[in-house]
Amino acid sequence: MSEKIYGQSRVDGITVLLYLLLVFCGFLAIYSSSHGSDNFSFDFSTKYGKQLIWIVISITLGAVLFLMDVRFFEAFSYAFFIAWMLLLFLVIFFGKEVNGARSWFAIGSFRLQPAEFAKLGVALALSRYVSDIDTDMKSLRYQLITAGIILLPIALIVLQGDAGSGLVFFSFIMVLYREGLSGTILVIGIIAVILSVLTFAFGFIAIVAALIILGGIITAFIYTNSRQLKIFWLVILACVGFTKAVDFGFSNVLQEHQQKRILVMLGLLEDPQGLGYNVNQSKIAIGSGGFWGKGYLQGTQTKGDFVPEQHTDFIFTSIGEEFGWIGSTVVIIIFVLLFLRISMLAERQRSKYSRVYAYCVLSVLFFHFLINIAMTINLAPVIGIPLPFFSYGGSSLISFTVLLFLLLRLDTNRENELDSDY
Amino acid sequence: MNVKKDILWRVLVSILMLTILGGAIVYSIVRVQYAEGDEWRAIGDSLHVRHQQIPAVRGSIYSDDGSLLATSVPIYKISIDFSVIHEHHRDSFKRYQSLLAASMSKVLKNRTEQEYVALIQEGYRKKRKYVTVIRNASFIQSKSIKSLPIFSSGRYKGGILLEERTIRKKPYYGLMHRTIGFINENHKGAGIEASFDEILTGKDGKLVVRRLTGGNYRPLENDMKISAQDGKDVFTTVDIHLQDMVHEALSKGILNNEAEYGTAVLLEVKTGQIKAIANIDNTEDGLTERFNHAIGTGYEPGSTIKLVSAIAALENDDIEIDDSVRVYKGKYKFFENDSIEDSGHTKVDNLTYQQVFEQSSNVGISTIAFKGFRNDPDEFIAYFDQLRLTEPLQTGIKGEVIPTILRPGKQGWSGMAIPSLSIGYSAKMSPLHVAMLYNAVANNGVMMRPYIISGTGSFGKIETENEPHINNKKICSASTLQDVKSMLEGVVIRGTASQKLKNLTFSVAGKTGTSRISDDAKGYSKDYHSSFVGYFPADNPKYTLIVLISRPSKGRIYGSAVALPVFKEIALKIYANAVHRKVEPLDTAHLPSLVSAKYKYVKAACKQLDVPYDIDARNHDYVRLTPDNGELVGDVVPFADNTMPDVSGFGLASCLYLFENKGYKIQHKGYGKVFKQSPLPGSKMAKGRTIYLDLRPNL
Repeated sequence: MSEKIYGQSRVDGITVLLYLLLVFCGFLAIYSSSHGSDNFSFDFSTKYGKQLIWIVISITLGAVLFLMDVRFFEAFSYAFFIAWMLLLFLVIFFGKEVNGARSWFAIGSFRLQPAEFAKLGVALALSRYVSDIDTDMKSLRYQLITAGIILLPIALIVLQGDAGSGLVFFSFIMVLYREGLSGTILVIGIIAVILSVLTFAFGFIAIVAALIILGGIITAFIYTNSRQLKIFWLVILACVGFTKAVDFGFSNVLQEHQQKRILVMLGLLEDPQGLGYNVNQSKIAIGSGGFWGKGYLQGTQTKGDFVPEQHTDFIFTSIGEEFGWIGSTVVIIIFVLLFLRISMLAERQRSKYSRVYAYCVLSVLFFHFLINIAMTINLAPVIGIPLPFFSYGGSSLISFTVLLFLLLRLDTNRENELDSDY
Repeated sequence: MNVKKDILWRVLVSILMLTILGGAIVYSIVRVQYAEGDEWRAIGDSLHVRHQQIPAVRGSIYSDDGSLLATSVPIYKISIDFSVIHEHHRDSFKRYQSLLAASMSKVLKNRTEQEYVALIQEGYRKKRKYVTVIRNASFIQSKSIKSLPIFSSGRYKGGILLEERTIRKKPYYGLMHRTIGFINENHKGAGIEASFDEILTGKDGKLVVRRLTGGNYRPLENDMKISAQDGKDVFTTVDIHLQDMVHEALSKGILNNEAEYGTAVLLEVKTGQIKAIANIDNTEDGLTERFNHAIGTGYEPGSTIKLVSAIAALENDDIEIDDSVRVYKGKYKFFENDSIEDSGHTKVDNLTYQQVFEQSSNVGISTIAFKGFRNDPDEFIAYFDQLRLTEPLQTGIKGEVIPTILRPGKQGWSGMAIPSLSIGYSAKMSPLHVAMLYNAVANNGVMMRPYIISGTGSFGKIETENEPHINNKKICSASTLQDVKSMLEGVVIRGTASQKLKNLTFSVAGKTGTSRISDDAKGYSKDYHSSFVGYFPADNPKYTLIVLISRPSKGRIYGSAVALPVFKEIALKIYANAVHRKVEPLDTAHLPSLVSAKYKYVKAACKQLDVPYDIDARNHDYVRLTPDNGELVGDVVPFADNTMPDVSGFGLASCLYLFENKGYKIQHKGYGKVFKQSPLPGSKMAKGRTIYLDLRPNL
């Protein structure tokens, strides 16, 4: 690459362009969903007005990052992490309760959600720790510490009553996998998810019965080696134990509204006026958009204020209704392009720190994108997490912007880094 | 190398997973938008597009001179959406708030200015979305509130929200309250309102509206609108002035006698039109109309029915009015335990039949009827049938009583049945039946069906007219008619009504009636129906009037003492006021004598003043309205550029506007309206020429 300027590469224009596109589309959608009539007008006291202010602040902050020394972030990764964990801890006691979760600091009309920024802290800490020369993902000790970095914020956020935001941190597992985490753990994880879903659907007894029958069939017809059989039955036993744990956790740990959400999402519980209401309205909005959509500011679901939380977690419905399948697809394509670009950036980093960080960014963004859109079309339970760069809200927009721009900042410095081995 | 392979593999697995998940999302979106798209769209439409009813305006009920007896008027609930004001008038709100408060207090009068200031300021500060300031503002009030600054920008910019609903008003409250009737939301009720509900109601229209933010609805700009068909007006035969007199006199009679209730019906002889109908109950809450006794109460009329007995006897040639009749000094024993007595006046053994009638001798009437019809009782009852006293009236108003009469072979029939029937017992009918009978005599034997609905129509104009209906072309022979007329006049001159109806400047014919009220379980009580029915002037009858007062309790019971004074008072007043009064269909003096202006202004003015008009012009046309037969008739004044229009009747202002806008000059003399013009209508005019106008006041 020849674009060396004072030992630095140019800012990756493609990423910036994709970012701006998404923010712009997001603003259009917010304008539509929070603006009452179908005439154009502008007012800074409204949601779209505030969002515009957040956009300006975010981009400014993103630009400020380029004035800072790269090493600053690496050096202070742990400090950031600890600071945000402290805030997550404090918010449990001093936070303002919104929608049943005590996850907001409120200072006047200004509200801050530390969980949004904690992602940044975890990403930095994880990058630092995983890239540490001493860290070996194959060793249990390092695995435990890594798990701690991820699980601590989850625990704190769940304590705030906002399990949805906590789930996001599981996305970092993807990073760990890239950096050498055993695939077995992933497989176990996937099996665990499947077992959990089946348990919710059919109950503990049925699953145990099914496992035993499955085991019996396999014992009788397939396995002959007694050692393999032993392991196999141990696995079955582990599954039974896990199922029991899930069953117990579902009934005793999860709150009723969380249980209901899961059941509604799995189609096990019909609740069109209650918990299913959001999703139903959201599907009406997206479904009624058709191929071309109803046209900007013409969405009846959007204008009618039918979709709850449309400007935040359900912002995608506004796109689906007013711009139809075409619009939804374009948005998804922009996101996919962004993800591809980030993974390219990740792989071209010379320092492991930068690469891990890039994957952290990718994982977090991707997880938000996936879950958010999946929940608007009832593929995932409604866990209130924002669509990156789209959803209304300063905390999430600023944190995602900083997350992304920090990656760009690291990227500009890649020429100065030594190649790290994989 | 191994490490690199491992990494590559891991990346591939990741990408595969991402692809699967992403594919699932894209698939789901496609499914939601395509496969299920119609379904979701339908659900969506059902949520925010809905049919809204355009309520039809209920028709009005009019008296015979076009006075409104019942009408629907709009009232308005006025609310303010301060969030809208906050959004659109932030700059000017401070400046106008005190003006708004002052004006609202002055117009609506339901709060002081200070209270309005507080209300407005608080609403604005908290951006209240729906602050109701008044629930029952009139049209005029709502208009002036709507025209205030800020509010004049309308619902979506000015934050003013008017919700209209209609209430039913009876301008002559109390008069004919029950006859006009009422209707509830379920379309149950009484009187004309209920009887003609279908006609009055009209048909609601439909409009497709779409929901907007904040729960408001806006009509869709398409032709999915079905206009409402407003209800028809119902026109009654009632003369509100006569009604007023009847009502007042009857009220007095009821109070004077501390009676339970009273009813009075005034019929126009020629047509059978009900000109007044009053039903007054004496309740704990005072006098009030609560039941239509005139058509709904069946009673035994007593002596007034002796008219039927007389007609029967005379028609049957049983007797002539000069024949002497034995009256047994007022008591006759038909059977061992059954006798009939007179009410105490009869001291003699013999009376002429005319005297029997005039003095209302029960013995005389019943013995003659008994002799004449005991062998053929059906023939006697046939007179009741033929006189339409045994069938419902068919006035069109719901709740008519079905008359009953004792017939041979039926339970209760005995040898006493004919004597009993002949003096007004054993048959029940409504007071209006009796009035109809006497009206037939007054109308030279032509029995008209009493009716109160003269027609239906719209905009105060009758479209379908109810013609008078003849129930019986000839109730009796001419000689019998002559005889009964003379007897009815005799009642007033010499008989039971003579005391009270002396010294009238006009003649009255009629009959008193006093009957014991039978309580079905306990037999006849000590309570009485006291009535008088007659027509006047006797020589050329115009009106028939029946007055019935039930259960008088001040010692007086006789029709002559209780009902007759009421009859007299009404007859006197009507004779003084109405018989000589020339009744005009609609007082055209109240209409503007001439209106000449642009069509849209004329239309607006007529609408607002509720003046019926009949013009059809385009908005840019000028029209001239002239009163004609109670209605404004318009003709269109076209004005092509170079052709002189006919501007006679136009005011100077209209002419100036009309001509000077087109570049002509005007010279005029006099004042008032144009009566002469030059050039003449239809002349071609050169640009800029001068037009000469002569004006005169009040053409």
